[in-house]
Amino acid sequence: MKRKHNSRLLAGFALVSLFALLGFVVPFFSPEDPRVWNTVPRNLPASAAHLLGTTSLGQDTFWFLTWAIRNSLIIGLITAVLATVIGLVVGLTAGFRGGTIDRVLTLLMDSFIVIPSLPILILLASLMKGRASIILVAGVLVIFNWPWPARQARASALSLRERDFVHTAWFSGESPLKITMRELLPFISSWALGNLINTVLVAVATEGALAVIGVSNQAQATLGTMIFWAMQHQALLAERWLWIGSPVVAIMLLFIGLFLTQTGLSQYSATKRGR
Amino acid sequence: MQAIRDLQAHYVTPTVTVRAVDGVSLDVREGEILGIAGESGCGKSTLVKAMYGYLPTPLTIAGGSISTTVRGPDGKPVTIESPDMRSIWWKHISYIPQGSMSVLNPVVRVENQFYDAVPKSDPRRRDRKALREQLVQYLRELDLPATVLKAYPHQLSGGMRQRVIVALATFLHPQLVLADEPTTALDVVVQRGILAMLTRLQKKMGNTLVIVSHDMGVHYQVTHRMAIMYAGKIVELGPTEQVFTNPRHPYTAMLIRSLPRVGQAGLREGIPGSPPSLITPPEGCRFAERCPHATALCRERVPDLIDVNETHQVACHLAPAGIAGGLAE
Repeated sequence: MKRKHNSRLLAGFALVSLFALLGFVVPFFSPEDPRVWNTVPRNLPASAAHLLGTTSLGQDTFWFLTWAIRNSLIIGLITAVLATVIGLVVGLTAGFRGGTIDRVLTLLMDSFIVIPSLPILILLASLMKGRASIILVAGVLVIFNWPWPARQARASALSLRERDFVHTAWFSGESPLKITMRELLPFISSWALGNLINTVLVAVATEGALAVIGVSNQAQATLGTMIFWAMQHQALLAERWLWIGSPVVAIMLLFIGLFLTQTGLSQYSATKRGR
Repeated sequence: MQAIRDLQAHYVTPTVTVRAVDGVSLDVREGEILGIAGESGCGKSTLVKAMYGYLPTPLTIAGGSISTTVRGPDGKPVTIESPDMRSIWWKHISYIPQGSMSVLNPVVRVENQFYDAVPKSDPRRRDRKALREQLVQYLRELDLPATVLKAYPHQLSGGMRQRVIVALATFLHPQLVLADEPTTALDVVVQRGILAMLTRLQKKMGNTLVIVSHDMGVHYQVTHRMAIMYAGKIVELGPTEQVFTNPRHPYTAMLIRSLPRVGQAGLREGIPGSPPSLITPPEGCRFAERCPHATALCRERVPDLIDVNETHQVACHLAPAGIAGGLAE
């Protein structure tokens, strides 16, 4: 059966694009810096001037949300790109080289995998409380997100290194690095893309979780800290649904978008293979 | 081109050592086509791997030496001792591996596999367009359409793929090409095409070609000189014509006799039995078990390779006595 559209990929891509637009383009049109308190009257309901109303801190909820989306996406993307690249390089090297190199790298991966990440993250975050920049938060998240892709890339490399074409590449004089990059990488590139998307999701969620319990840098606007401040100011009790609700809905929509993109992509490559 | 002296190439594992190549001395001369023949498990492929300096574990060179002499970039000969041959791989010496089905990367287009094979030091790498033109030109000489460049390996037929591999192995104009069973698992028509392609290339580039095959017909058609191996040793070595018309080793004679001939109906004669274990090789001549002419001496002492004439050597106790007279048909 031939399908004209991959509606899942399309929907996911549309959602993710919407968020990219909200996060990276829209904030530049903000009339005032939404992160500064008391720039607008407090606790206004939604209106034409303030699309999602205003917060108890005197911020415009909509413009603040765009900043939060921007920062959350930056954390997610930096974490995902770094974790995937490090994971692929370490994993493929370990699997392809084998021997002592493999044992050392595998030990490293396994150590990071068995350490429960959330307590460590809470500890780290509370150590640098209030001062952690977005980049630093992303860096800390990378530490706990590279071993998974590394472990899986290693498994693929272990199988691939025994194939004849890898032997051919070797005795045709290609260097181990070139074999890893040119012969092995194409095999797992589509998997790596899926992993990348998944890691964006994990990073956004982890940062959100840290922020909600108040151990992230509250001076930074992220989806997590937005929820944190709303909770701090009793948004639930005061029934300021737009303030507390918009970041929650945003996170959920972002997740759905990324999920649809990821599964849509694998569906796409499956149909491409089938033809 | 290449001088092999008393080579011992063994597969070493903690429990057993398989002496796949056991004391082989051989000279590969410049510009010749040398055939290496013998049945499965006689050490042909191992010998060629050692000649290429490609030693995947557990293969090790336990003794002897291989010196390869190639013309360096300035035209002067350079001699390299095995196994430090990585620096000349593909540029000066190349290897066409056994089994064309899986030696190309299935997820990389043929074109890119050619580019990957061109080393970084090669000035041609800088101009991709010119390199592509050269590639198309080269493929045309080998009767391969330029469309194969855009294809993935699985889109090509077995014969096509084998041609692509031959083209890949010879694109850098190596001076020595080692082909390990280049035509096995292909039908005779395709086989003929590949052999013609190999010999044409050899003539044009004037390089040296070593062909390993269990198919005596291939050797007769293509090679100038041939070495017959049995159980890890060379038992006969000489010009192909001489070996076929006047075989001096009973094994060679029996191999030739088992070939079908035009105009002869009826069952061909096989060689009863199977080769001995290479873990614990028998004393004396290794072929003695299966040799119809074997004597007590054969079972006791290993025969040395002796000269029949200047070009032809044989390792058989009975060769000087002239039993060989009765070997040829």
